[in-house]
Amino acid sequence: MLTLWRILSMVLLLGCILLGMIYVALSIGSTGQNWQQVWKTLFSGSRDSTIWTIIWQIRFPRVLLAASVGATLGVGGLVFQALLGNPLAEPYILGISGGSAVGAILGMMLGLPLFPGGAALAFAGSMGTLVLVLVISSGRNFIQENSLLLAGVMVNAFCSAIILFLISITQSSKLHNILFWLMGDLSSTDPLQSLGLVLLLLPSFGLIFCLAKPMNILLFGKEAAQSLGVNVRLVTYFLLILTSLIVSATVCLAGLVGFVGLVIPHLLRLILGADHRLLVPACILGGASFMVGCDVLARSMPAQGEMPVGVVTALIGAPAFIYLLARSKP
Amino acid sequence: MMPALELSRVSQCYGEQQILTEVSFQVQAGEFFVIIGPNGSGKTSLLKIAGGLLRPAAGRVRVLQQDIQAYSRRCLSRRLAMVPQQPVINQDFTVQEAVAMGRTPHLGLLSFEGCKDMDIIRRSMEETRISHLAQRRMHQLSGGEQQRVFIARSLCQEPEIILLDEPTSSLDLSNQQLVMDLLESLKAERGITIVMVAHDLNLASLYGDRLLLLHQGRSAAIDIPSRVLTYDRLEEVFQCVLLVDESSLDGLPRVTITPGRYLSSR
Repeated sequence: MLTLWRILSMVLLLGCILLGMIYVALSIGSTGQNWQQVWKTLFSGSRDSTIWTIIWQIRFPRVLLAASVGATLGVGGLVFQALLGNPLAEPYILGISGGSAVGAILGMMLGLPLFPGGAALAFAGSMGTLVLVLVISSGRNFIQENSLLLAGVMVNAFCSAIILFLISITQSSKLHNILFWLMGDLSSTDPLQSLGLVLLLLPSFGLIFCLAKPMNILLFGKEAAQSLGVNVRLVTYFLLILTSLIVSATVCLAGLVGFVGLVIPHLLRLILGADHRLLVPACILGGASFMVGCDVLARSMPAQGEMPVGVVTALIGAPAFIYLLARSKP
Repeated sequence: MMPALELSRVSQCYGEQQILTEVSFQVQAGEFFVIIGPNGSGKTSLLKIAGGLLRPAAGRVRVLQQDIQAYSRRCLSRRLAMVPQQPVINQDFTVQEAVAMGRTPHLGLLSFEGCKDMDIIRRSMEETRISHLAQRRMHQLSGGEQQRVFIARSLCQEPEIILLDEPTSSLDLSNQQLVMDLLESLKAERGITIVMVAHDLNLASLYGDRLLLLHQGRSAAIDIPSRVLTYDRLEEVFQCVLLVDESSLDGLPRVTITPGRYLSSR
């Protein structure tokens, strides 16, 4: 049975892995690797060296953003899988990310600043797709898993079409930025934005953890959950809206990054079992570590400038996912 | 005797279709009450209304002398448990984890199962004879074992009433007996009120203290088995030729279908 001790030891272990990944990410960059110097810089007070600037003003915000995006997508996938009772559910598949991307691109084309204009449009886009998906799928009845997923796939396809349309009418000077951002890009990171994202995410993660038990029970069906005293409607809508909010925030800053929400929950579920009190913190930490690692790879791979991190997550994620599926067959 | 469950003039419809029409009945505390009737007669809807999963279009439901609307979901689930007809089997959970979920109504959102909860979980698994399966995954179990897991989960809620929807429908004979004897012993030893929907008239006859026979959404009879399971009433409700005789066990009614014979009106 699950105890607090098991959760804490898992958090400690994954936390150490995350810290390790962050240290690696801070040490590697276009100026070469400097393991010991990073250590010295991190724990000494002097602020005037070039390396201090590189680490704290260039690499650290980027690492923070990568970790935040990974954590959000990892836990977002977990939440959607629990709510829809479908192991293939993810904010991307439901069109939530696509909707925020439409909003964010509109913001870019209109030349709005990222905050509040672009972020508001992205959130509006994600909520719009969420409402659309819910309305299409539910009709007058309450959510049914399959219709929700089908509606999500359709809405997502529609969003992709709108994105391509918007790109085709964009001036070529803005095109490169938008394309890179679409593929999932962490390179243009503002320290303040990363910090703001973290401040939004921490309480959201706390709320999601509080609802870990109802998510467990929802895996046994809505009626079972209801007869065990869970307010199914409230829990479902609350989690859907909260997850859409944090996903749209990460889409704003880092574009479309795929497969993290699919691979991380699956992998951790295979290792840790199905209890969400364990899986929620595990997906947050595991998603963050995975994303920081992918960003290190993206930065060290040869490319014109830098490779978008979304390319790396998909390159690693898709085969890993197929492997997991093949292995988990009974 | 106090009524544990009272439904008065309950009606329900889906769109134009009337599912239940003014059904009323009372179940006494500690009674084994069985709802029977043909397919589509509204048995499952009635059970869901009794358990608060569906809100009736008209009529009142009282659970343990209190209107069902007056309970919060959590409060209700401490007093009344439901075992659904086709429970969702989630393959990622172990048997013990699934059973432990029955403690949810008694625990806070962030609290863990304590010693007392673990005792109740252990006892529920012993009573339903699934202790040896505790660490297995749900999908590795047989139908009968799965059904007992869900009954064990409902026991963890420490309810005064358990509602079950055809708990024996996909089980072989020995598992049917195991499940029905288990319910009978819960009634006899713990005084738990059992309300179940049954397809099998003979099981209803053997175990039920009283039966409710539903016919096209109306209650056709509520009484002890020997007065409900009569030839002319069953023939009218089920629209087929039946043999109803007395079982050599306690003289309870026994219903048999008659191959190749049909009512002349058809």
